[in-house]
Amino acid sequence: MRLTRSRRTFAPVIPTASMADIAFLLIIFFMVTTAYSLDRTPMELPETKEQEQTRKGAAIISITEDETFRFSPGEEDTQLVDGIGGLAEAIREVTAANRLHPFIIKADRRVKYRVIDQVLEQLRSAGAENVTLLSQGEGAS
Amino acid sequence: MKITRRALRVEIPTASMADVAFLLIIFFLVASFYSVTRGIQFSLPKHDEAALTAEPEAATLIEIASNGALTVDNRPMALDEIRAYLGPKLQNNPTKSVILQTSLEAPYQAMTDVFDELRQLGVQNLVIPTSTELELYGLQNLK
Repeated sequence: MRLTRSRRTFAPVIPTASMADIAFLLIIFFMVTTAYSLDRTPMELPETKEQEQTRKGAAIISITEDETFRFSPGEEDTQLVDGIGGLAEAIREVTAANRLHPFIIKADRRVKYRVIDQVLEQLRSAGAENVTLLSQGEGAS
Repeated sequence: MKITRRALRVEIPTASMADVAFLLIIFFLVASFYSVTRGIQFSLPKHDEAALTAEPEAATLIEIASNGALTVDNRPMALDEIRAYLGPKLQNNPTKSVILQTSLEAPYQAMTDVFDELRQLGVQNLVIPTSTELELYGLQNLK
């Protein structure tokens, strides 16, 4: 008996059905782990070797080289505040609601320590306790 | 004549689903790289009179001048010498207080450099007095 090869050809198919599943899993992972920057003011942060993750929902105090203050209570984007007086008022509003609310100081590395001293003074007098000085890892710039 | 119904195969087109999903992945990847969420933490203590008025032997005083020069317990010192000086003291007394006083005219980076070094050394009782506190306890601001 002569064996004949089947003439039926199979169209090559790459199975892509599970691709979307994998992709959506990755999306969920990145959505959960991504912490959006509430302050996108460009500045050069100080470099430190020691670094810890900041807490989610912390209030942000942003200080640029020209000593402009921006503030966010932790949920919305930072807004310009009127000097150290405006910043003090904003800090008090946050600590009045929750004294243990964490704060992040995001300041340019070239800023004079006088400005940081004023901010620490306001934080301390408002009763804030948990403060993080935002920095970038050494060699990151 | 008999009319036969051709059954139509119902399909949801999923070919472009992966494209959309990968676009979203790229977006979240990029967004996560741009957010800076790390730094050095510290607790702002209450007005710590005990630490500020402690005997000189009890607390180490680190002063940062306006040009960034360091003085540790009234001795001029480089940043990398702090470890050798403070290390043995901290081994003897892990709760030793360290007061970090920075000149108001010094750049912020000068303060964070020393703060970072102290954090790496494992200093537990770090006091960063503000200018009002210094006045309160009769200490002077650095020039």
